[in-house]
Amino acid sequence: MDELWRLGVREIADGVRGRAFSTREVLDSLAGRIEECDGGIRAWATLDLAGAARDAKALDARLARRASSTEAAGAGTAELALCGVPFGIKDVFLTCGLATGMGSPLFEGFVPERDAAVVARLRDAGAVIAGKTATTAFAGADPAPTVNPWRAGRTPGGSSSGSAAAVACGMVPAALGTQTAGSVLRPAAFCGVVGFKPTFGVLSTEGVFPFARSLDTVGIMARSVADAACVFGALAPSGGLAAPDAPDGSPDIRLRLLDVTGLVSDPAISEHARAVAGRLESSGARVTEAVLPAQELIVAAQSLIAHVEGTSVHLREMAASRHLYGPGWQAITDLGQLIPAPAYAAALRLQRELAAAAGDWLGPADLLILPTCGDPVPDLSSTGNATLQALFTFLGMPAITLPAGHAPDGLPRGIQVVARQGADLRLLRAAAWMQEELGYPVSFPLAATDQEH
Amino acid sequence: MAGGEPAASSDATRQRLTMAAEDLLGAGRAAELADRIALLASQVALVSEQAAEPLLRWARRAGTAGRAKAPDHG
Repeated sequence: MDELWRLGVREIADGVRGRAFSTREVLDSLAGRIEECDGGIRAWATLDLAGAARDAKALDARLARRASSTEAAGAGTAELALCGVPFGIKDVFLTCGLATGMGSPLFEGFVPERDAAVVARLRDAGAVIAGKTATTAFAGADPAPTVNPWRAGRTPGGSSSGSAAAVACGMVPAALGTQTAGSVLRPAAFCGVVGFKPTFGVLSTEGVFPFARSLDTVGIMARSVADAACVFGALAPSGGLAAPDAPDGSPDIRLRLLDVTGLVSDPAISEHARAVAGRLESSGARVTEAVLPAQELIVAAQSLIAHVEGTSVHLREMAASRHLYGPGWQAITDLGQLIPAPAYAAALRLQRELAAAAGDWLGPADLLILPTCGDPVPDLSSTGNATLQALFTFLGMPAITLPAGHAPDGLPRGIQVVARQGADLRLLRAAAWMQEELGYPVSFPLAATDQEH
Repeated sequence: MAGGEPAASSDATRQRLTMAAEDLLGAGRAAELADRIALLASQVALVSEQAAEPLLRWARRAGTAGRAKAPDHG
């Protein structure tokens, strides 16, 4: 039972549901792993293993009653897709009775009296909340205290920094994050885990502190695509969104390898994406090449929307308590006030029209493949460049990053796969196949080190 | 569109944004943010120009002109 922390979402749910082990035993194992890792990583804003244990006790009692009744074991809990699975929740989601600090001193001591909609759905599905993961302040660009579990002197990415680091280290099997530009996919890639950003609007952002409502998207981090799909299946509104349990046996995978020249600082990153596409082609995928139209325009319009909407959230508090904000938010609100209203309106209109045009451009069976990040993992002074992730956040398209090996400096590399709006399940099925074909093993960084290779 | 127009538009936008920043934030802060104001100005200029006919531009590049609709000016 000492190694239960290594298990993924589905393994834990199956084990708890089948009473092979209890959620309490899983939590005890995770507690040991957290004790071992987190002193150096700082992935958590608030740990609540005692609260999770209380929820787990109630769940275990429920399972025991079921098992001793005349009903078949597990009956009545089959709907609990996340039965007993501990989660980390980015500290911008409201969590009932659990401190929610938004990564900012402005919210120090704030304890919500209700859950965000997706947190409530997690609990309904049998999950327990292990704690709140560190975030950059208000999901912006001012770095969180978390370090990259593969190298302490490098950023874990942001803004969902703690969620990615916690999943990577085995402190939890899965976590929630949010993405307004690249805040799920980039930290997931930098930490070597799976990060999934669904189609805009599919998962509720109710009860999530806003950055820019026209862009904000709830995302999922896990160590496998199948686990991320399992979580998505539990969170997405009902209506046939059953998650795929296994990769497609005979894939019809059509990939467009996106030429992102100009958005990638290191040619080796493009070469890596090309090599990954080549491996998938040799496994049966069809690969062609493409250039995303209006790339520069998308970057510009995304920036304007994020600046204006972020400013609208913080302007009043910034005037009263500027000293409690970091330089990132100070700059956003200073700059956001300068953007002319007609330009903001134009950016919103472009978003609608370009998203619709992208749906015409990318066929229903097609997927894009490109590097998740255009730059090597930077040091702790920034959370990295969001451009390659923000393209598809702006367009509202579902996107996922898969672990795809390591760069020569030993830090993880991700590969990004994107589908048209609404094709979330097709994307997840294809990505599950890709992860299996690529065959990069799950590996846990034992502890961060300052040593550079 | 003439080749030099976007740059000219961006320069004019930068001047306008810089003046606005000096008024709103003070000259010192405007100077600190000069690089970012320049980037923002180029983005404002690009979005403002392209918003006039985004679908037609997209369609020309992507080859889906038959499905492109005129932009909504209403």
